[in-house]
Order: sequence, then structure tokens, then C-alpha cells
Amino acid sequence: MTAKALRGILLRWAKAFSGLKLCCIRCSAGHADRQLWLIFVDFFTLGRPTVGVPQPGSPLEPQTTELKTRRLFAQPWKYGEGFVLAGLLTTIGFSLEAFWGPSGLSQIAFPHNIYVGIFFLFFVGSASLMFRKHPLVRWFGTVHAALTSIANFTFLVFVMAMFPQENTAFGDMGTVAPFFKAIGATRMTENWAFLFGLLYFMLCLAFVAFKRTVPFKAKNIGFIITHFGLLITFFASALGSADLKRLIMEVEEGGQINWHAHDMQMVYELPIGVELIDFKVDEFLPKISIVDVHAMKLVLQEGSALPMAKTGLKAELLDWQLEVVEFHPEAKRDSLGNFVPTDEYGNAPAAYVRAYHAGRADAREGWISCGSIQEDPQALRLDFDHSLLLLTPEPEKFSSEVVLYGFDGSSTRETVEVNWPVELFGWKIYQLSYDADMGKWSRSSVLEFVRDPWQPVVYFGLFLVLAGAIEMFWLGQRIRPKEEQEADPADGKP
Amino acid sequence: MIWLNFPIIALLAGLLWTTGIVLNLVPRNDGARALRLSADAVVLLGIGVLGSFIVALWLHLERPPLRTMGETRLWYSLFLTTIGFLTYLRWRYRWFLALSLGMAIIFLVVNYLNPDTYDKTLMPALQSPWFIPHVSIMLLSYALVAASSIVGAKALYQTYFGQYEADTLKLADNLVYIGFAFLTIGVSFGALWAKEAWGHYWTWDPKETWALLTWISYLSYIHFRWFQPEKHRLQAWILFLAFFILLMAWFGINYLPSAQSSVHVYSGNM
Repeated sequence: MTAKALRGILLRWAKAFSGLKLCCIRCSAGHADRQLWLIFVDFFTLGRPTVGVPQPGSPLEPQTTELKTRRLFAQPWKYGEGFVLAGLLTTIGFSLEAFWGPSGLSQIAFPHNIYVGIFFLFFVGSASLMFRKHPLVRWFGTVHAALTSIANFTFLVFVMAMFPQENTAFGDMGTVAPFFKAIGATRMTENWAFLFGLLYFMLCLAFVAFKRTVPFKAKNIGFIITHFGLLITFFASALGSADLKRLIMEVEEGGQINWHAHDMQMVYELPIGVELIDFKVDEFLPKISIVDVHAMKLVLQEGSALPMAKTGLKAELLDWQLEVVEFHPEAKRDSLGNFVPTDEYGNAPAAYVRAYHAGRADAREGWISCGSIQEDPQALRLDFDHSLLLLTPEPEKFSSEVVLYGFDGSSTRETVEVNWPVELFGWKIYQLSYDADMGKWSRSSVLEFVRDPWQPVVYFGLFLVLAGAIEMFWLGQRIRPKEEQEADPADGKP
Repeated sequence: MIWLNFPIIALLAGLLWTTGIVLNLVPRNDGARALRLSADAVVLLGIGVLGSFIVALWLHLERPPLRTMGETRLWYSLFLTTIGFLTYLRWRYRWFLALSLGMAIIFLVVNYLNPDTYDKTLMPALQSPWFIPHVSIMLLSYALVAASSIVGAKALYQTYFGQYEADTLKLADNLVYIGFAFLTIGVSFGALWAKEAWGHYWTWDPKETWALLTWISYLSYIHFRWFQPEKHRLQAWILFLAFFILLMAWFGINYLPSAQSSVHVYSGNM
């Protein structure tokens, strides 16, 4: 079917409605009941002027009526139509959300998301190649469509930014009014309004990208790269979200090989088995601090960090001169209450400290320790108000030394560390957590298994966007001749 | 080469760059070749001095000096001046070079005044090669687009109380274009890092959502400006309002109820 035939059908349909007395939505006087109809009819007739209505700007048009402002949905569409369309989509979206429930975009898993993607690209591609002159195709390539879809998308992201979101761990849901929960302001990525808004945005992006690609001109390369890049990034990450698997696996030192991981819903059998050899926490040296014993608060000095304990350290805290005589990162108390170095289970860092005060003759000295799962903490009383403390060391690195067994009988020894995941059979394995109560003595480790088959596609799009950004930096804003020519009366220039 | 040598290095680089600022801000015509070359030379020399210090520190520590806040400030200074110089080479914006030199000097002064403030601990998730590029590029882009919003405010003032000059928003255009390019790169680097550290490139963390909002705001400015350069009043308003979104993304989210426990909020760690 050619564009002409399709247009013929639509025109005939339009004529069926031509008995209706159509008028501009802006000249609302006396026709208020017709306005919704009007939008509906105009939308499907593609805003073609129907019989009896003078075309805006034509000599037939009576200049005295408000019809000289353009009829809404008369071609060519401008911002008004774009905002009405966006508003309708968003309103329908939020209503659907309230009366029906979430859109389930994230349920469209393989292979259906592939079909949706191919259909979308085929639809937009063929429409923009074969029906170039069609008013709708044209319209999606205009700045009016682009800007209204961007504005609409901005609004939706703004809603997302203002309300805590259910599928993330951020924010407190208790503070949200029931109305906003009902229209899905707290689950925007699943929201119909978001789906429609994204679709509108993607359509504009896709039509404009195809429009600039064919016929191909070398000077458009930057444009093509950024727009296709953004299209691919958004499209692939939205469609691929259903295929993203993030599973959790708990492993125990000395435990069995674990082949199973789970998410919130179910347990999966993996092609990878994990045996935990050793879970390690590397710690920074513990910091020394003074505590106000009545307020039970650390006394912090503006502009200076707390000193970290080590043998021979000399430091100043408040008015106290501190000297660390001995420091043991791993120690336990002996029977006299002195700390002696040991690598036994449950040891704690401890320091023997001397503290001098400018206003006093005597020095305070003694052991301080932050304690551990087996040792009690120990503070050194400085004066009536203050004590000296050794703070619990902060973690520097979490890592799990594991043996990974493949379903094919292979096995490798790897270290999984925060920021350094391990990749195997399309799965990425992350260090997620550990037994926090046990601290560095934790014998268990929690790993996350992530599989995202769409990631290469998303990255491909992202790299196109990056290349476009670099091109943009290099070329900058090219002065447009249009702007130069425009001696704009609105500028207030005489 | 260790931290004890830092004051002399900071003094040297700071003096060179201050000279660079002065030489760049002195009005000069195109023929002033000697002036231009000496301005370039002092800037490059300053970058060289700081760069060699970082290399020496790296060798001394036997690890990349990327861990403490003090160390990251060294990199800020280095990146800011390098990017400022590259931008200047490409665009001949001497004011921009002067601005980035000034920011770099501030970082050096902060390091000099508070040699102990750099906390020596850095949580494991932040110990990544992506940390420096992501944070420094984000900071730079925020600074650039924030500057464009100041220009937007100027355009608004001109529109309502004086005579609008077309050159005002053209300056904003240049700032937005360079800033937007860096914003795109910064957010993308953040996404690439997030994949390595948190398992997914985009988790709708509130900081990400607000950064996306900032990004779209300037995106709409660029498109609107490109197609309808004559509608400058609305464009100036967009620039002005985008600044508030930028402020939310930059620090505002720390106070937002919907953003508690974001991976970008580090308050309350004490």
C-alpha cells in the first residue's frame, strides 16, 4: 500500500466527519462541548482542513475572528499539538496506572523484546523512507515534536526524582500521599505514563535520526551518531531490563560448592559453582579520637582529620600532645591487662598511648583499644570530661578468594573484590556483602551474579553518544546563518 | 619526592599559574606573539611541575596517588589546567583558561592549608580507576553549565530592564556546548564505573535521576536555541531554571527525603 492510498482512506474517513462544524479549540466560545471531539477527529484526520473551514492564512479566512490564530491540529503541527499529545499520553498513562496497574514493561523478556525492537525500527525506518511527506512522519521530525517530547520526558523524570521509588532502596515510602502512590509516582519506571513518554521520545528520536541519515550527507555525521547513539542506549536499556538478572549467592568458608543463587522471587541453578576459600577484610589503621564522656560524642576539630594510630606517632588533639608508644594492629589482653600481639581469632587493634597536657604536670598513659568480637574496648580517661578512644578501623578492601567451577568441568581460582568483578560464561560476579556482625572475622561472603545480555548494545549506543560529545566539544556551536539574518524585532532593537 | 616537598611545589605551580592568569587577562591583540608564547609557557611549565610531582609521589608510594582526598585534589588541579589549556588551544577562550587556572590554584591552596584534612580512608567502592575521571569531569561540567546560567541571568536582566544583546546568549551557547559535552562524558563514565562497582550501569539512584534531569534541561536549551534562536527570553529562562536543577543534582539531593541511602550521599558516615 502506498502512502497515497493510505492517505486516501484517511481522507475519506475525514470526510465522514466533515459534517461536524469544526472550529479552533482556542476560539472556545459556544463550542465547548465539541472540543474533545475536535481533537479526536483532527488527530485521526491528521488535521487536514475539512470542508467549509478556511485554511489559516488563506485569503478566505476572515481576519476578524480568532481563527487567524491557527486551528489546533491543523497542519503543520506546532508546539500546541505537541503539548496536547504529551499531556494526553501522560494523563492516560497515570489513569491506566491508577485503574489497571503497572505497565509491565520489565516483563517483556526475550524473545518478545527483540520482536518489539525489530518492529519499532522496521516501522519507523519504513515509514520515514516510504512516507516521507506524510504529515505525521514529517511532524515527528520537527523541533516541535522533539522539544515537547523532551519536556514531557523531563516532567516524568522530575516526578521520579521527587518521589522515593519502590524498586530502588532509596528513600522512605511512608512519606508519600496515597494519591501519588495510586497514580504510580513511586514506581515510575513501570508506569504507563513513563512508557508512553519514553515511546513518544523514542519516536521523535528515531524519525529524526532516519530523516537525517537518508539521504546521507557527510556533514550530518555528528548528528546521526549522537541521535542514533541515544536512541540505541535508551531503547536497549529499556527493552533489555526484563532480561537483566541480578542474583544473590551466599557462600561459607569451608562450605560446599554452591551452584544456586536467588532473587526476590525464585532460586536459579547457575552454570557456575562457587567454593569460598577465604573472605578477607583489609582495614585502614584505626583512628585516635577524644570523646566527651558526658555528651557521649566525639570531639572533632574543624579542618583536621583524626590521626591514625601507629608506633611512634606524635599528634595533637584538642590541647593534648599524644604519643603512641606501642601499636599492635592485632592483639589480645594478657592476664595483667596488657595487650600483646597475636594472630589468634578475635584479636583487636590496641595502642599504648602517652598524653601530655600543656596545663598539667603529669602525663596520662595507658592502653586504648576499640575491642572486637572477643575483646572488650578500652578507653583512657584524660580528665573529668574527656577520654581517649581508639576507633573501630574502617574497611579498606573486601575480597573473596574463590574457586569457580564451570558446568563444563573447568575450574579457576579468582579473587572477587569491590570494583573488580570477575566475568565467566556471560555472568559478572560481584563482591556484595558479608556478615557485618562478625566484621573482619566474617566467614561468609555474599556475591552478586549479574547477567545482562543487552549490555553490549547499550554500551555501543553509549560509545556513539560519547563520540558525539567529543565531536560537539571540538566543533562547538556553529553559528547559524538564520540567526545572523534575523534582525529580530522582538529583540527590542529599534 | 614526598608530601613534605609539597609546599614548594604548590608555591612554584601557583606562581606560574598566577602569572599565566595575569598574562591571559591582559588585553592583547593578535600580533602579540611574545606575550602569547610566554603565557602558554608558564601554564605548561606549571602543569609540568605538578605532573612531575604526581609521578614522583606515585613512585614513592608504590601505588597510584588516588586514595586520599588530598591526592585527588592534586589530580583535580592537573586535570583542570590540562583541560583548560586544551579548550583554550581549540577555542582561544583566555577567560576560560584563567578560570580553570584559578580553580586549580584554589585546590593547591586547600591542600597547602590543610595538609592533614585529607582523610586517609576511602571506602572500598570509591577505590576505582573511574573515580578521578568521573568526579573531575562532573565538577568541570557543572562549573561550565553553572557559568552559562549566570550568563542566562544576565540575558534575562537585559531582556526585562535593558537592551538585549545577541552576543550574551552566544557566550552562553559556547559554555553550554562545552559543558554539555563534558556532562555527557561525566555521566557516561559514571555509568561505566557503576557497572564495575554496583553491578548495573543505571539504577535510578537519586543522583543519577537528577543528573539526567540536568542533562535533559540543557539538551532542551540546545535544541530550542538551535531551531529558534530568536526566542531568547524563554531560552534565558530555561538556562536560569536549569541552574536550580543543577544545584539539586550537585548538593541538593543530600537534603532530599527521596534520596536517603543514595550511593552518592556520604553524610552520616561518622
